[in-house]
Amino acid sequence: MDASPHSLSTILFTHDGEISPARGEEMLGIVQGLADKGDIPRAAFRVFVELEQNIRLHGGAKGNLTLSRHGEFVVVQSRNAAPESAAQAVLKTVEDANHHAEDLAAIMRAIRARPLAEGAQGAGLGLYEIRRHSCRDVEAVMIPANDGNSELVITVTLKHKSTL
Amino acid sequence: MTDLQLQATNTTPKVTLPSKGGDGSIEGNCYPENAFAFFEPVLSWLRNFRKDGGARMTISVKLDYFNTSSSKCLLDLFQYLQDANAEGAQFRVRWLYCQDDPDMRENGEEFAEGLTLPFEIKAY
Repeated sequence: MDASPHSLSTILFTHDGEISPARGEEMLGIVQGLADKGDIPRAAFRVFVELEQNIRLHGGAKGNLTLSRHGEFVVVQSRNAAPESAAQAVLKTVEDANHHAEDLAAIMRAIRARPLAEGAQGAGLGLYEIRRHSCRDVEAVMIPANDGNSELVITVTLKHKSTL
Repeated sequence: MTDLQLQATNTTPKVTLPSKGGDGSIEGNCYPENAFAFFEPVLSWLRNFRKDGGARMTISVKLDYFNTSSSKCLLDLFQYLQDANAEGAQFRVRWLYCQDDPDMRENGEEFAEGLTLPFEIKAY
């Protein structure tokens, strides 16, 4: 990503804190509006949905979501607290998705065809879907905290459609 | 039985499935947090439609966005229709995508790839 001081950087949307169901819907509506207007690629909204729902379902419904534009790129980032084991699992899946970036459609097809595990809250596809839309490896970082939790930061970079 | 009519919300699509068969539709946004809870009544209605002797329907699917949980549910739905066809039903799917949205076209192609269900992919 071009991070030179000469590239234009704009925060298009940011949220920090609790994400109630109503607030979640409101945020998704705002970001969908940006995609519908062409301010961001549709894929950026698709990524945002998956990250927002990851926080709502698996991240205690509290965290930070930021959508920004950096020159020819759009960046979607999420931050939330997570138990260390859960954060490790996310890192592992992100690593797998990055490693198999050329085969994601086939991997997702196989996952989608499997019966769901008892009590599953999602289909297990979100991180792979995010990698599909990303123009480079997804970055996932786990920052240990003192209370047994970690801060999980996921950063996704997409090309703005005007450059596609 | 009555037609299935679900009104669209910000995150769920409008669903219209006629009890007499013919043309049904699923259209709008599809990214509910709990996609399984949303789609279960749709599948349940289709099972009752079959039990009632219903056999023919073309379902147009025209989604602006759908989350990955919904993609799993959509595949389960298409699989159900395919299994019903193996027992003599005549279900078809028409996947409609905005011509400016190659991702949505690709999604349709990926669904179609694993299915023997008649699956038309059409731009609008």
